[in-house]
Amino acid sequence: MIEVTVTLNAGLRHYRSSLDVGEVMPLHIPSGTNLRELLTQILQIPPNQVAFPMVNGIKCALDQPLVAGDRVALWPPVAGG
Amino acid sequence: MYYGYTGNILRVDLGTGTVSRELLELQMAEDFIGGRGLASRLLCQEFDPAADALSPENPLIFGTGPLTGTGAPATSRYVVVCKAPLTGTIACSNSGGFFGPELKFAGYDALIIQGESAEPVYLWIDNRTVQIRPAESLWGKFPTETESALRSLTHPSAKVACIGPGGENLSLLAGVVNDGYRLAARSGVGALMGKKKLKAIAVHGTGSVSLQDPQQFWKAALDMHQKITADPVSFGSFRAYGTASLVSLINEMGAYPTRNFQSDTFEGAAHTSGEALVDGILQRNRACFACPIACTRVSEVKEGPYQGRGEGPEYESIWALGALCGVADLAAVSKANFICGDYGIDTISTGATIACAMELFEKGALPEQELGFPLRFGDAAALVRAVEMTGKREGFGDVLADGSYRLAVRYGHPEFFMGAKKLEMSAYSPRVFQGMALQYATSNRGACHVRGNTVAAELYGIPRYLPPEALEQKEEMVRRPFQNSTAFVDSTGICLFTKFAITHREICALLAPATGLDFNFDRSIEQGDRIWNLERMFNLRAGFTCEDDRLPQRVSEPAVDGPRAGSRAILQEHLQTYYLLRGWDESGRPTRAKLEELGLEDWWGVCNDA
Amino acid sequence: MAHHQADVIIIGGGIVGCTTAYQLTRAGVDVLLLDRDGIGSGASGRSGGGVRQSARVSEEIPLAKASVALFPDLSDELGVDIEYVQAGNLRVVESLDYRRAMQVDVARQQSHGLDVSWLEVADVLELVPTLRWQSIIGASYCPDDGHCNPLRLVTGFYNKAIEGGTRVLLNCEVQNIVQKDSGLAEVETPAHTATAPVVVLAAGFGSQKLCYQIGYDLPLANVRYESMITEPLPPLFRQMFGVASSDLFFRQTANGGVHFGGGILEETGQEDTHTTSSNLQLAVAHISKLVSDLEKAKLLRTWGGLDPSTPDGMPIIDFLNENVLLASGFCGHGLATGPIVGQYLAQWVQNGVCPEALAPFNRNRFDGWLQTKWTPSGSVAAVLATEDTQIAGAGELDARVPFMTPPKYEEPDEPSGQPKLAVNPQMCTGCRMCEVACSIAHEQETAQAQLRIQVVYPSDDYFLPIVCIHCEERHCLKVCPHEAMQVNEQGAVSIIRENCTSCMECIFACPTGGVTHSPAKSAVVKCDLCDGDPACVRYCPTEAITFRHIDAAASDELATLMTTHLPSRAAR
Repeated sequence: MIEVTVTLNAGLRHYRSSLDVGEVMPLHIPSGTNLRELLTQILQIPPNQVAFPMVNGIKCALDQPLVAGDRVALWPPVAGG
Repeated sequence: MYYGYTGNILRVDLGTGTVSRELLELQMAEDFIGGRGLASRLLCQEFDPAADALSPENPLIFGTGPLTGTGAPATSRYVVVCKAPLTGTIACSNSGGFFGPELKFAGYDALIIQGESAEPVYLWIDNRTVQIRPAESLWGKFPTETESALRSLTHPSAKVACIGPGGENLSLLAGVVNDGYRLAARSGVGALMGKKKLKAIAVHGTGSVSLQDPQQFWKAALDMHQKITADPVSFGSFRAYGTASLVSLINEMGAYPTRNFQSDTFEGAAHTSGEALVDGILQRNRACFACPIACTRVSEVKEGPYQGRGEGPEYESIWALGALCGVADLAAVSKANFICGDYGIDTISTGATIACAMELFEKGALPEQELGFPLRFGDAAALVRAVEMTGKREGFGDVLADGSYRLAVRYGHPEFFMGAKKLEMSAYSPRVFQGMALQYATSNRGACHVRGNTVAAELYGIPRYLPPEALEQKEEMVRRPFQNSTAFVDSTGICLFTKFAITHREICALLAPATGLDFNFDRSIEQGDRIWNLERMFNLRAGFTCEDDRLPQRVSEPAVDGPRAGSRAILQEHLQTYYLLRGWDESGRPTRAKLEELGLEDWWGVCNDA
Repeated sequence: MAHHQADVIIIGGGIVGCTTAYQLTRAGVDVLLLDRDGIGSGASGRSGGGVRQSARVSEEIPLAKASVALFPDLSDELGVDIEYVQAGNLRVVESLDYRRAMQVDVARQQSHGLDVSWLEVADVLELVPTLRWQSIIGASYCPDDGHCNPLRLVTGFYNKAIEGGTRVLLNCEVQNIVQKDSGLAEVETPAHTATAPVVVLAAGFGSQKLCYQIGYDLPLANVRYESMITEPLPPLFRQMFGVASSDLFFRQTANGGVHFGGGILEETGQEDTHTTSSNLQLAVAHISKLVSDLEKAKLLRTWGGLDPSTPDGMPIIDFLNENVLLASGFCGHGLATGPIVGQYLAQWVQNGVCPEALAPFNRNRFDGWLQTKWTPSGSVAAVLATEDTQIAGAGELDARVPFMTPPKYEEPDEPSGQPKLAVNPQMCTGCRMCEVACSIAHEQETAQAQLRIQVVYPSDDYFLPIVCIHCEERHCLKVCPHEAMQVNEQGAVSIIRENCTSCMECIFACPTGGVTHSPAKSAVVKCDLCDGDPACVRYCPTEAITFRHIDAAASDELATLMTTHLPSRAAR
């Protein structure tokens, strides 16, 4: 098992309503788990809801395997000006 | 018969107290569309760009687009154009709400205000009746107070654009405020209105905007309406979280400039994010005219030392008054934002100026006895105090009210000014977004993001994804789908925020049935290019050169921390290619051939004997 | 009965069979190739000719990339001009529903290192000026994709295989594959038998029957589509085209004919290549919508195409037993991937190790879910259904923002009368779209002086439209002295304009502000419920106005709401 942290932002927050704004969720996951598996199997968030999957601040593909200490942050489609 | 346009340009001379009406030349409308383009064209014919921005000759031009007030989605925009008091470039600040459409309903495409009044006045436009009235009783009032006072003095449903005390005291950060809270903020246009002693413009209009082919127009407009309401960004996140949904994302990317651009990651971003705003202080969202998105926040801080109520804060305001000053307290940031609204001053430039002062203070260049109090990064109370003093020009606020460029120069550290052409940069780090770096450097009104918001491509993938760090194709991307396209959109009267859901081409398709003029996609590309070049020529005549297409040294140095540590703004390599693509010579001047292609050849002589 | 022996027997003279034969003979292997009909007589020769990497499921992208890299040199290598044009593939999006989905799918493909991007309609038109902009929202664009002449490609590999020593039996249908005690496999046809240690089964849909005899239920359905080609036309475009929301594809061949087809998916249990006039008409109508001036072109010929398809849109490439290597079910992607698949198959046959690139196509992946209903691949629905394709839910709202989600209105137990307008200030954002929509519906412009519905702003966070609530009392109708009011089919009081004298009795009689005066018309105006489909309801972005049955209590509430906020109308 490895430990990663996850934050949910904007509309994705309703998947974990108990979390505070910007609250970091530490998770223990099997090593080799990729982002998609994290979403579908652990967080139960449909991957199609996630427009900006960021790992350590860089936008990543969903099949990227996670390593210990990764900081995962997820956004639905958002924009601003 | 005019369609889309009302055909009237109202000219008000505050010096002589005369009001006259002129007809819009359709050829000019075909070449420059309306709004930003048309008002810039009018400015060029009225005024020599080399003259002083605060001289009586500098006209203040309010312009609407042919789509403003038609009822197509988000057709609420009007622009304020003049030579900018803050920067000396051409200024074009724009705003939504209901004022722009009301000007059209009253029967005007544009309003040219020239001369200066000796005493405070306001302008009362009730359809075809126009009066210049004394405004002593309004002087010193906040915009919301001004609006309600004017509604009792004129018509109960009049729409009002005015200046706050910041504009009255000629703060170079001042904007024009309409509908109580909305600012045409940047470049210091409010200072010129204050210089003219014009407190406000109240409009009441009962007409409508005629359309040449209503059926065709409404088919397209209502299709657009449905597209926007089907879009997960426009109708999902934007509506729920407003522009502030970006705070956490941009910060996570390490592209959120912090403490006067000394870093690109702010540890307090979560406390000032769009999510925190929704959970903490949001009361309602509300909409501008005919807008399905409704991104405006109505918010209230109900407890603690920073109580207040108003609209916002928007993404840029949260950033400038928050991360840029190192402040991680949403209540304080909101309070500072509300104060900016009350005094009618630009939140971005105000925040950036205070951030610059903080750096000067921390590095010992700005003595505490001049400030009157310590002004450190992260000090929420000092921030709120400094904003209020800036609005009032009280104490050291008198220096802050002239913006960060003058402040940094005055204290011997021009390198602490984080902007270009005297205008402060916005909330996207040019170290990370290479397209934005080029945009900041080349934008005609200084380092602003909305003249070409390349983040759309570099993050959201609209119109196509180009990674932020990539250098290839950025020059062409900045030039055509962003700068030129934005010049076009700003000229039509539709809000730029629709472009997350609908395309340039769809906006084009509204113009022909609205106006009956030969507007089409190919021409729109040329029109955008023409407007951009006209603005450039204005700036060249005003004394700007390619030496002004620069970014601060600091952003050319590698970022020290965050996920993109080591990245830096790469500009020099782009500039020559950009000039070439624009049809400019190596010193950034449009070539004669380029001007002839755009029908701007009259400007060749004007510019080259200067 | 003639008997043959070989190192490898290949069943199926399509692209996969011919490339594998070519690669094996090059390596000195003795190959016997059999086909039921002729070379390229099945799916390969009937193909649309696309050579693309884009719009593939993720697992197939590496295969397609490796294959496309081979294409530029194939004409020289095979000594046949395969008419390869590498000008890009555009997958056109025609409807808004697919825009975001396609953009997200583009991001998925990019994440696999593919040079593919989303183009807005302007950029599509810049690339291909002969398309009709009215029909297009945008497209995905992969510049390295292209198309070629399928028959020439297959024939090229076939000729080279023969040159290298491959033996061939055509018009020779394999009826069974039997494992012999010798450890070899024997292939039986009506006139021949042949034995070899390895049999490569690449017979497209025909593989299914042979697999069944071996004891493997090959999950394959045949998808028939119809292709056609026009007379030679001047150059229109060089790219390959697909369409996101249907299966139309098109390209212009080397001699100028526009080759197109699809839009006419039909799942069949057999190999059926007939064409129907109705399907052809559909395809013609569809392409004419997308390409300018094509409707005048003459059609030269039509033919039916085959896409033997698996449940997940990927081929099955795996050993079925010690002897039989299956490579079938390419779902219409075989032409493009064939050249590289041939190389890999040849490797596998020779060294017995499954090449890594083919691992995702193993047959075990269907274990346990063969009973589920599936969509034929090649359709966007299949691509979208794959797990890693992200579709942003349109208009997904955040349940945590209280005023974002309209309440569910329930029909009252005893609906009285006809449906009415009901307003909900909690949802109203004050945008005035209702005013605009109403004004357009009735006056064809936004006539500010004669609004039937008007948004008021009692405070900075409370807005609502004031409009006729269609009360039971009908005060306006009762007081009208000029018989200028009537009740219409929707139960709304409407104005008879000829009779209206603009006396405004009705305006004063209505306590809720339901009637207003129009100076332009010299008459009063009011809501008439737009023949039962009110424009304000249709265009309210937030469901702040609804058209529904309400009970008496709700009706009274509405009246109170209007009366309370009517004074705000003077100052809005």
